Amino acid sequence: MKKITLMILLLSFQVVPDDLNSDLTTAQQELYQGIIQEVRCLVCQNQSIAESNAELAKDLREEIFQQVGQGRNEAQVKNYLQERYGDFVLYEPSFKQSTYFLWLSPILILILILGWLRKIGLF
Amino acid sequence: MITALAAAFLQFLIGLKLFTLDESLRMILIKRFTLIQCLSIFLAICCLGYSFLNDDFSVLYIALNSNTNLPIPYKIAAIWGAHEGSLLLWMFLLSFWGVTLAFSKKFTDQDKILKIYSLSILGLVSLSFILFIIYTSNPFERILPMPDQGRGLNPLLQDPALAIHPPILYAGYVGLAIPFALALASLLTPHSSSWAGIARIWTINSWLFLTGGIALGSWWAYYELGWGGWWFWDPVENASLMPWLVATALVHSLIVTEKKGLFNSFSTLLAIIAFSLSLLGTFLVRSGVLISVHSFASDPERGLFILMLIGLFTGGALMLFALKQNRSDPLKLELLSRESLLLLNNVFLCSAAGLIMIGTLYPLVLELVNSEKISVGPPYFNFVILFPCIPLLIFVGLAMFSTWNGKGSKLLLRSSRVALLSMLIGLVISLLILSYNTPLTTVGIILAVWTIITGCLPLIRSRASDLVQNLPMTLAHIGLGIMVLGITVTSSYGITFDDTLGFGQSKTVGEYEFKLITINDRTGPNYRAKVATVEIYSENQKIGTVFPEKRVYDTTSPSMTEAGIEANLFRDLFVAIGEDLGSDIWSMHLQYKPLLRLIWLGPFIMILGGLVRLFLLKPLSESVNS
Amino acid sequence: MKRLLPIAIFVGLFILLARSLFVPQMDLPSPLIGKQIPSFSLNELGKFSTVTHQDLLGDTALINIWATWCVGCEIEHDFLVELSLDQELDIPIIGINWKDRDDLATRWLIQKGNPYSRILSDPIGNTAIDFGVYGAPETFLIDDQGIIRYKHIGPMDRQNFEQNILPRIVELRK
Repeated sequence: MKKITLMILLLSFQVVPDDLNSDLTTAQQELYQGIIQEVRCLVCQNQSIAESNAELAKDLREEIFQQVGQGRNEAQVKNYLQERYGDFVLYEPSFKQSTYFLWLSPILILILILGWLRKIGLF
Repeated sequence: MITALAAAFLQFLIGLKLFTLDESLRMILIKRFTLIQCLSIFLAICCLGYSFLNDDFSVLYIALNSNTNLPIPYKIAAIWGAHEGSLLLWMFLLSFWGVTLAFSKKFTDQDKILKIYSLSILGLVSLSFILFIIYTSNPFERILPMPDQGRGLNPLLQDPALAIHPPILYAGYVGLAIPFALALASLLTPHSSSWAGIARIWTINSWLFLTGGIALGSWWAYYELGWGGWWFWDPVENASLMPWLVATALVHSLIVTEKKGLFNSFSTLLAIIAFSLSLLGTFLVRSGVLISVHSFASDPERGLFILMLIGLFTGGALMLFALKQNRSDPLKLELLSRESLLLLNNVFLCSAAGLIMIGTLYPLVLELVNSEKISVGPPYFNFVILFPCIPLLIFVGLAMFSTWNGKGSKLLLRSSRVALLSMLIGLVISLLILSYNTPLTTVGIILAVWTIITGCLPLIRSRASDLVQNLPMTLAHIGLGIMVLGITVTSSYGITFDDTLGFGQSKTVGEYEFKLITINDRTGPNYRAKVATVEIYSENQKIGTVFPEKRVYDTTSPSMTEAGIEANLFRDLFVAIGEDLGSDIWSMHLQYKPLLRLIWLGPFIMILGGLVRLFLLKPLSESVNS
Repeated sequence: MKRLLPIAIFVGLFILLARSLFVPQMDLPSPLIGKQIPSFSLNELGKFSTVTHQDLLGDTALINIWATWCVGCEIEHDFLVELSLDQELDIPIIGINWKDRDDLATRWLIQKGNPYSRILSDPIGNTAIDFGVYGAPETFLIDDQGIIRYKHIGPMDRQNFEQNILPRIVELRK
């Protein structure tokens, strides 16, 4: 126990680089993890910034980490990114006129199914 | 290659020649040609393989995908490592399945013409693909002067699971051509539903390989890509999932067609769609139209060729369907009879496929129509897929209580007891054994339990003689339930932590403590690596040590992470190395994932079910209580 | 009617895919067009002064994000130098050196020529993020109020410049 305390004391005096120190609460870690998986890496466009090794991905992860640590919520962080990079950077398409069909398609399909079932007499 | 071309051409032609030759002669000829085609392509692949093993860099394809340092197994795998070679593989599998159809003993005498037509259609498919290969994607192209050293295989592909992933997946994709050909053949002949029994065999076959291929891909992504993810809704992943969903629907629809003679048009349509989705998948991967991890070649010219092929086969098939499909009687189905439930579930399966299609292609549409660029990714798909999946699972269970032509009222009664039991068990698991998460989690667990229990029912209730007959269905549905359980629990209860650790430091994630001991250097056959030693403790007992790595292969590729995984059936503990932050401090990626293995155990059991069905198949009309 | 539905859907799909084959992938449209440049405060290269966004107002100008490690920047560099020497056009080019080192940047400019009226250093990259930069080089056209009018992604060449940026400059200066 003493050894551990000593280690912790020693380590807390070490200059830990800005990159990811454990300043986040568990809930914040979860939020951070959740967000970075939903942000697209613009350099290797087929990965999220969570997975990507690109410089920009690291920078953005860092930025999001800081923001979450400062208490921002998911909407605010995503908004921040959207303002600068546009909709493309978020894996969740925003709900706006051009994406109405996209988001409403499950309901539409459900309605179509019901209609068809009625037609062939299953109701 | 040229012999294969000739053979395929003849195969197609033989089927067409309606007048001059008599039937048995045509049969013999077509079987011969199918075989020749297959053997020619096999020969071609062997040539390619031989060249690979000899480091023959005068062949451009080999120069691009191999080098002298590549371990031998991967030199073989490099045959299908890139576009041209993978097409050759595709062709081989296509001709192989053709041969299995040609020499199959499952055709009765009246159906001979069916066989001939379907083989000839397959011949046409082969023909077009061979032309495609010869004209645009020839793996045998030479490069002169011959380079001394090849570029090497993409390090991502230098992995056992990923090496066999393409052949297995392709076997599935390509296998769907058989039901496709059979369906079209049935449209061309007067026999209405005898094609169904035969088609079902090959559909299950393809379905097996697709299930295996997809599961393998997912598992590989998990342990290789360094992030612990197992499904990304990437366009090419979706392109493999869509045919799988439709193939599943097809199998069930064919059951009804074979047994009851109903749903003939649905089965036909589904068979056409399934193969078309395979072709679409090929198109998406190779045309560069969508950005994806898997993109082979971004070549509009090749994309165009494939698109033309799709136009020919899908368009042609659908036109044939529109013209020749017999007007069937209006469906008179009892509500909640087995037929209607199967139909309903197929509708849900197809809706899922449709939703995935919409999501995958939407960015494309928007870009063309509106000049907007959006991304549609996991947040969308994870949400949207629930809409068909939740009803699907409910009705899959209900279907177990149904009988052919049965009335609905008795069914509800019988099922309600099991439903209550499932809810009880599900609630116990989600609230007491685990801890409460979200309503969705509880729903998922209940549905998984429901699927598993109802899956066991036919087995429990059947007589000894029918036991084996019901086993496949039970296995498949239990597998489904297990997979759903794995997905639900891992997604809801998994914990991920990114943190910096110095040598000797540890971090607690959930109930487990991860301690970074040290990081050393290591050299492999064609890479240099940094290897970490990480010990994992639970309740102060050491339960394992893992050795995650960060590898740098030669020249062009970025670093690869090999994760350190300590796993058993109940949980995975996942460790990956991040960045070197100096002073022996590294950022580490730590994950606790409960019940993760179930996500692949499920498909494995599903595959067992399919295998049982294939090997113990009796025509459905014989058994009473299937 | 029911028979024709599948084929109708297919035809639509086919057209979509066919068209998308031949339309080149568009660059990421910038959401900042029409908005003011983000606020920032950066060191000027080689000097002890700080430059803020305020200092950039007052003139139509180009802002070019570049770095010594960026291959595309090397490609466009000669053209930028040419542009900077164009007395008639007289458009100031402000460079922002992204995630780079001052000494490397200075040496690069000495070797290859300096087209920039001012050079700002963004070693951490936060300002670049504010500009929505994801791959150097990127060039922004701003008006005298500091509003971003156009963004070009990738190396700039004469053809691109004359087609897309020059007309806008002319328009803005009226």
